[in-house]
Amino acid sequence: MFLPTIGLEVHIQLKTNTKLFCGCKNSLGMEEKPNFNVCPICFGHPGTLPVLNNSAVDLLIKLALALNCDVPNFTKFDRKNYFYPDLPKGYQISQYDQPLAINGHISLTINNQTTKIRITRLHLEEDAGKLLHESHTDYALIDLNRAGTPLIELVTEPDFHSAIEVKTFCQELQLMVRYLHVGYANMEKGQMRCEANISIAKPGDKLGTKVEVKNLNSFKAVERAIEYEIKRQSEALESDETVILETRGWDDTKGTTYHQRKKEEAHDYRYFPEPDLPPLTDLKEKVERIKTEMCELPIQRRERFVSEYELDYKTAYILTSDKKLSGYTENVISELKAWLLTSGLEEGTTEEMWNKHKKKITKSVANWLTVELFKFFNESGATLESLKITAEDFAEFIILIYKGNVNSTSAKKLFEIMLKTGRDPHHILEENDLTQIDDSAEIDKHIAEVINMNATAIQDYKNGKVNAIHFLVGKVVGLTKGRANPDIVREKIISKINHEHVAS
Amino acid sequence: MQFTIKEVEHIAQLSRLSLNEKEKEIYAEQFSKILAYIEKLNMVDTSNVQPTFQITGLTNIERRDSLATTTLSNASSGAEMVEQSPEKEERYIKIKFSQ
Repeated sequence: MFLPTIGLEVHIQLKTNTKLFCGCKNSLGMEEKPNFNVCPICFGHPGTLPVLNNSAVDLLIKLALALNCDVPNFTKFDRKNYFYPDLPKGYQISQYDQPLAINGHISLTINNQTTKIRITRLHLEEDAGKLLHESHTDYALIDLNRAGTPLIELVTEPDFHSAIEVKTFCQELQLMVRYLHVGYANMEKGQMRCEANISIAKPGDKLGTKVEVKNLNSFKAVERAIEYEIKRQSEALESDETVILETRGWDDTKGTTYHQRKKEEAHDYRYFPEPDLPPLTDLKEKVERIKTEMCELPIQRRERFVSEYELDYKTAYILTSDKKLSGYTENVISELKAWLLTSGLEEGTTEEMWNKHKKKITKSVANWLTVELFKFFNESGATLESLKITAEDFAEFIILIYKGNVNSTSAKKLFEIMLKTGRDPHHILEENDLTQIDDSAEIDKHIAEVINMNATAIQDYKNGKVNAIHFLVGKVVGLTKGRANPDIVREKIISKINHEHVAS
Repeated sequence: MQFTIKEVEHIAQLSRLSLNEKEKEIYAEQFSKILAYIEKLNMVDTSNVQPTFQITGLTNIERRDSLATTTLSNASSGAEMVEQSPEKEERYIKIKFSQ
C-alpha cells in the first residue's frame, strides 16, 4: 500500500478597506460593475508606483502569530514575472525568499488523534484581475476589480497524509481567519483558495513525483479531489506506469482531475527584489503590539467551553463554529449564573452553587441553541444577526423552564413567539396564557372529564396496554391548551384509575 | 555559453513573442554574445560589493488603510481607462484570446 504525502498552498483574501498597493476600495467580489474599483496603479499604467497597505501587514502578522510563526526582522517584496491578460503589470508583486512569517505549526485533532502540521511560511502578494473567456471564442474580457486585492499565501510542509486531514485543516484555518477578522474566507466566493500538492510512495521510500491540484472551490472538493488523486496515482504505480510532474484541475461535476499544464520552475518567473517598495525592518514592536490585540482562538474557546461549562466536545465545537454565536452563548450563560447566585435557590458559596447547577443549565442552553434555534435558522433562513431574542431574554426563558414555570410544549410555543416578536418571555407568558397549570383542582376536573369519555382506553390500560396512558394524558393536556405538566397528569391518571380499580 | 534554438524558443514563449526560424538563429547568436560579455563582467571581484536592490535607502514606508486617502475619483476613473483601451465591450477590456 502507498502512503500519500500532501502539502497545501492556501490563498486568503484580506478584509482591508483598500487594496494592497493603492487606495482603491477592496470590495472582495462584491463590486457593482466591472472595472469599477480601479485606478491607474492597479491598472498597471506607466509611471505609477505601489505603496504598501499597513493593515495588510498587521493582518498577516496576526494570523502568523496564531499559527505560532516567527516574524523575521527584515522582509521585502519581489517581482514574479509572467505574462497573462489578467496581470496588468506583467508581473505580480509578491514575496520570494524573505517572507513576512516562517516556521509555524498547528495541531489538528481528528477522531481523537492529534497530528501536528508545520507551516512553512506566510507572505503578502497582490491578486490578479478576472479573465472571462468562453471556450471556442477568439476573445476574452478583462475585469480588473480584483487586481491588487491583498492576499496572504500560506504554505505548509508536506505533513498531511490523508484527505480528511487536509479538509480539517482548511476548515480550522477558515475559522481562525474569521475569528481574527483577517478575512471572510468564503471558499465559494474565492476569498479562500486551496491548492494541494500530492504524491504517493511506499512507506520508507523517498517521496514520489508530486502533482499540483487546482480549482478546489469547497471543502468537499478538497476532500474528493485528494481522494481521487491518491487513487489515480496508486493505480498508475500499480500498473507500472509513472506519475508525471504536472498541474491538474479538479472537475467537480465529473469527479476527476484533468491535465492542465506542466508546472513552471521558479527561474521562469525571474524573481528579483521589487525596486519600487522599500523593505520592512524592525518588526519587533509591531509584533508585540499585535500580540496584545490577539483574541481567543477557536481551539482555545472550544477547550474553555468544555472545561468551564462542562459541555461535551461536539457541542462545544458547534457553539464555537461561529464567533458571534459563541459570544451569545457565553452571554446567556453568564446571565444565568448571575440569576442563580441571587435566586436563593441554594445555599453555599457561589462556586458550590454554580458547580451544582452548572452542567444542567449549560446543557439546557446548548440544547435550545443547537436544536431549536438552529432549526429556526434553517427553516427561515434567518441568522444570528437578525435574531430578535436578546441574551437576557434567552436566559429568562431558560430560567422559566428550569424553575418549571412552563412545560416542554408551552416552552416551544413561547420560544416561537419570542423568535417572531423579540418580546421578553414574562410578558408573552402573561398575555398568552402559557404558564404551567399546577393547580390540582383544575387538573383533576379535566382528568375526570377525560376518564368519563374514554372508557375503552381505561379498559385497555387495565388489560395491560400501558401506552393507553399516553392517549389519556394527551387528552387532558389538550384540554388545558398544553399548559398542564404531562408528568403530573400521568401520575394523577394512573393513581385515579388504580384507586377506582381497587375500589371496584 | 552557446544558446540553443530550444532555449531561444523557451524565452520567446515566456515573452509571448513568435519568431520565425531565421530570427531564432539570429537571437541564439546574439544571446550567446551578450552572455559572453556578462561572463567578462563576472571576472571582476565583487565579493565586497552588495547588490543594488534599493537605491533610496528608505525602509518601512506604508500607507494608512483608509478610503479617505484615495485621491482619484473611481467613478470616472474606471470608465475612462476602459475607454482608452483599443477594444472594449460594455465595461470590460476586450482582447484577442484563444486557449
